[in-house]
Amino acid sequence: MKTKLRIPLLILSYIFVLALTSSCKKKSDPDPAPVTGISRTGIFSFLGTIDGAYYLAQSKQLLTGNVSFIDNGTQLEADQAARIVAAGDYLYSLDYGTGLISQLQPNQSGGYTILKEINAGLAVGTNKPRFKLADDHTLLVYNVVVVPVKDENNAVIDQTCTLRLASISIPGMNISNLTQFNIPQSENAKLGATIGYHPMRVDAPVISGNKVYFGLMHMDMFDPTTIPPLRVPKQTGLETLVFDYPSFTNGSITLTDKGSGHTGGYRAPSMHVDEIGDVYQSNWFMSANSFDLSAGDKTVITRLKNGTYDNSYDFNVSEALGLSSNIGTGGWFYAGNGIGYMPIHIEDAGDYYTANSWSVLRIDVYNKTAVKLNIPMSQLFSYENGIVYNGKFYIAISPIGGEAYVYEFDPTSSSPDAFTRGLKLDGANLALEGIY
Amino acid sequence: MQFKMRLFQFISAFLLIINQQQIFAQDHKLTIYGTVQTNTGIPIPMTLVHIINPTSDQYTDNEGNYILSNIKIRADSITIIAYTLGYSTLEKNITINIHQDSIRIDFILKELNDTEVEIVSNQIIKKDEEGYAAISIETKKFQSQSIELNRILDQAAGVKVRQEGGLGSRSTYALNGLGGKSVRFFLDGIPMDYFGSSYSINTIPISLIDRIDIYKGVVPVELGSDALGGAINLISKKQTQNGLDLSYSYGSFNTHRASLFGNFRDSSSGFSVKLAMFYNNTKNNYTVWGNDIYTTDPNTFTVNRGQKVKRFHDAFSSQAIKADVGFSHTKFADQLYLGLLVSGMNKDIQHGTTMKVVYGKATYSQQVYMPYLTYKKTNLLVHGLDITLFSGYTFLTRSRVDTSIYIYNWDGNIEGVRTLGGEQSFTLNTLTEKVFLNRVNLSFRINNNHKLGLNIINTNVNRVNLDPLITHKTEGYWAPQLFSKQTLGLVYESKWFNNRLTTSLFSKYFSYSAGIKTSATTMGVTNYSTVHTDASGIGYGIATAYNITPYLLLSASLEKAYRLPEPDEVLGDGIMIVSTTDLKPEKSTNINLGYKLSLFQKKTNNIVITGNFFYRDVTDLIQQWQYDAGSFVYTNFNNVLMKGFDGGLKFAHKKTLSFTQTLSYLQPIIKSNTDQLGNENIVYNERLPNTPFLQMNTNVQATIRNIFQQNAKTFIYWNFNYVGSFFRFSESIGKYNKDIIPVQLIHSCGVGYTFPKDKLTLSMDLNNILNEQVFDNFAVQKPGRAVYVKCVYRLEKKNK
Repeated sequence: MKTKLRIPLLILSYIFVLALTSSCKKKSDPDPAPVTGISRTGIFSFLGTIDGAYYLAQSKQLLTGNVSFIDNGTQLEADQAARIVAAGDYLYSLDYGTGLISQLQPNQSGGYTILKEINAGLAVGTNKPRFKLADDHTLLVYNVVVVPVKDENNAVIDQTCTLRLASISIPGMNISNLTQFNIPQSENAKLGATIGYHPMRVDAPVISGNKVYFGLMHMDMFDPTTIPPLRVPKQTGLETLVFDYPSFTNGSITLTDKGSGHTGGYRAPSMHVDEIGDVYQSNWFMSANSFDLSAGDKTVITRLKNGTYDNSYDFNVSEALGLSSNIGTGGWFYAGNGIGYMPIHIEDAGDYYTANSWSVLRIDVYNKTAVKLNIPMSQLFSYENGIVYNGKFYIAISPIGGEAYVYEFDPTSSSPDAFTRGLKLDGANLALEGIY
Repeated sequence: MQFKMRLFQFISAFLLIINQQQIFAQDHKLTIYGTVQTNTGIPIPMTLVHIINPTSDQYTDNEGNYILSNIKIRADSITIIAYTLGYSTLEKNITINIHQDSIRIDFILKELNDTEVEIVSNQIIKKDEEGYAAISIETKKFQSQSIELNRILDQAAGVKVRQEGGLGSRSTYALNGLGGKSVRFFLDGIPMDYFGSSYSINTIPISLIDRIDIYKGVVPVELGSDALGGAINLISKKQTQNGLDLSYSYGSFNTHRASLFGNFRDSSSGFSVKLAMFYNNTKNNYTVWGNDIYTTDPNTFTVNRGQKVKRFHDAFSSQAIKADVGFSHTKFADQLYLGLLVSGMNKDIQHGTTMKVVYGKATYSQQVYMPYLTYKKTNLLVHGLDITLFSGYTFLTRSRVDTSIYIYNWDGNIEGVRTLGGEQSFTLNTLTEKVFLNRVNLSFRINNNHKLGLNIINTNVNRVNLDPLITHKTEGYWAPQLFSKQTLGLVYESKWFNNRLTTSLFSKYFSYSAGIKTSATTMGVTNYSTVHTDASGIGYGIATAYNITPYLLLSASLEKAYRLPEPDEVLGDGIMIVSTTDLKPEKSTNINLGYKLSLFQKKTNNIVITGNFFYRDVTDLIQQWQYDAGSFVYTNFNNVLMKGFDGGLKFAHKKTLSFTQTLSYLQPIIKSNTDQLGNENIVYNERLPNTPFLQMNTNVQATIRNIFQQNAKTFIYWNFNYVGSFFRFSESIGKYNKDIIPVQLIHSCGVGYTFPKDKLTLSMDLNNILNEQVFDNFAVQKPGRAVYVKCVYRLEKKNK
């Protein structure tokens, strides 16, 4: 009898202990102790990504030591991806997938504190908006939607391309200028595609004077044989969408035949405003992205003034570089005084997405010169941002299968060796998308 | 020629070994007969009377009689078992007198009641005694509870079910860490891949299922599929008596669940009808809260986090009718049925992969019509040859409706308008699949100790996608796509050393072939063509068990396992994922080492302690890879090594009290040192992210008799489930604000009352008593506290 009782009693005490521990124990994720925000001056932020997660880490150095994401840095809210813009004292992180933009401040612990949060995607009718810094006080957020137009037989005869945009003043994070605009299809864009090339994306906006400029990406949206990311792009001419600023009225397309391809850049910006207010724009024309090089089109820089292309300006980067291989770019970075750094795909060096086939050019948009720097080849198609600090330009180079470092470029020198290898990065399969 | 000679020598040597076993004792032929009846003297027909060593069996006739003639007896005693559903199993050890020609052995079986606590040693049956890492869960003790199959599975050692919400939400299953497409489901041995999600483990009520067999890592040949991680086989309810079982449950979140199971058999002709039906309906409007639940100020667009709201667009309904008409237990067939399965479901979609973005209109629905034929016969043509055939044709349609231009917030209000419709993606996609599935299972008992088995499954899939909204897809995608898959398995089962050692040696051959529609445009002319691709693999393995003493069983199993690519992985989606002809099967070496210690087997208090150490070395995992800006393809990448332990302790006091404790621990390590491009893998040797690795379950159940009424039974139970926290992404990368799936601590309990005569049971269940915020997946909250009441009624006509 005693043994019979003992076992149920043992079980009951076990249950009691379990119930007690479970009711006392709550979340295993204690909030870290509150930390105070610090000035962004002299703090450099690095955006790293691996396996769909995005992280931001700090460093006070650019030339010495190393920065690693191992047990370091803050994970960013990133439903599908996180995109970063830095301006003034803060960083702005877009959660691509929810459409939320958060204002981040570095803090003493090495992490980042969210100060403000706005639902920018809601303002432009999508959870997946794009955004860029258009000037020091303005973030622009935008979304383009392409909808087929069908006839009575349900056949697609055209596409309408609707842009929704909003501007966010920073650092206050106030949204205004909610604008909806049907992007017109130029006569040039109607030629050659199944039912014409259609603007399917805008990007890289810049504000100069009383105009705001958006680069455009045109594709053959009704190509029944190719999946959308690989659709054929527009092969002739360059187009830019221009609005009056700050009213965002009088939207129009300006065109030039100085080059061909897209004008919105990819992750790197395609447009920059120089010190006197001229806009310099790169084109995206890589054979790897279904562009047909047979017409002889190349990578060029064009200039826009007063809302139109300045056809008096001509800078053929491919020609100035003089390589035997064709080159292509997704965008470039401006270091001041007409000097820029442009990641280029050297087509003979391999696939643009999976090989070390990219290098960096120093370009001078005033003197129309281009020099390939003698840095290691890497993959820079998805690279987003470099920074100018104390007159020098800094970029992260992570060769596939090699060691990754920050490189310092000297804009005052046109030598291909005018660079210094700096801070060491994790490298490996942790992709570094930008320095801020 | 030399090969043939060697083969001949090998076979001769093999047969010699087999025959040697029989020479050990001088044969003695005996006829065994008797009757099987209830304690009130009612004969029980269709009872299986089974002799172990030598193996022989026979069903009782309508008068409960059986006769087993010319049984070769080689020992001085035999073990004979009488088994039928609804009655206790009785085993007898009979000493044989060498001079006897015949012996009468009668059985009196006791009727089982639904609410009785099972004898724990019966819970793990047969397959683990053959060496497989198997768990067999009898659902009898759960029949009166408002519990889903998913929750029963989740209580088992080494099994993890991850649900994305309430009843009907998408669930993923992992066995010893291997999950996703590597775990296959079966219903009575038939692959459920094309039964549709409306008739799946996620929707079928417990009242239609007798038993769940779970095989971890090493899968028997009769479940012929490329189940790399393991298999879950649902054994449907079978009754020999004519009867009708009804159950209905109602509870929190406006949840209704009803089921019916009916069985009719005409004892003279064998004409039989089986009918199984269910209906589930719920609003799933449970409360969610926390940082991921936010609304937006319509004027300033500022975000207000930390809201506490009720889910408002998460309703789910599913229904099914499965009818079988034919003959059972006749001379020409043990079972010959023509069946029809009709099922459907409707599901509102509340949010995407996390709760951060909320939807208010998107829905998903699915319909299945499946006529099928089953045939089963033991001792076909020759003694010892058993055959099971299944042939089914599935018409399946899946539809997604997602065209709303409205942006909802968590209050259920519209807070904005999209430029383009579609909350998740703008679609009116309808997928139609026609699937022809055939299974042949043959087994041949060479003699009492050796058996050969053959299993063949052939699946042919023809599918078409249609979406009137999407003009951007390639036209090649609209055309039917063809996919066929074959599996062939061969097993050789043996018993040695007076049945103390059992071995199963097996080999499986898998192959698939696909016809992919592709298109290319040259000089403005588009040509469509079909590209064929195929792959195959040969797997093999062994399962063995050894009874060191009657109390201690040691088991070991090993399989070189494969998973073939799925249609989606090969064919692409026509939007962002391109088709591929390069996929190889996923491979894994799976090893289990287990023990089972049964103490005080025939005593008032008995204890069973089980444990299993496992090892999984997975290579060529099939994963999606972005190979271009914006386009994806499936590739073979990544190796993962998993080691761990799962075990359990079961204690039973008579039939009134049971206590079960399980524990599972998993160590899954990434073993690819480079990525697809040749970069060093920074997370090499790190724990695989987003994988739960520690879980425990405690269950206590008691039955008290004669409360309020004589012969009435009252049962109470309490269950506690623990899952340790884990990171969604890499453990080592990043320090702050990392996505974490927190610890789960769920207490549930219930009480029930079975009225005398066992016809009616009423019960009440309380889930997640402490209303804990529970997550299986990052930022997807599961239901909090919930109450359900259930009524089970059984109408039965006893065979007299």
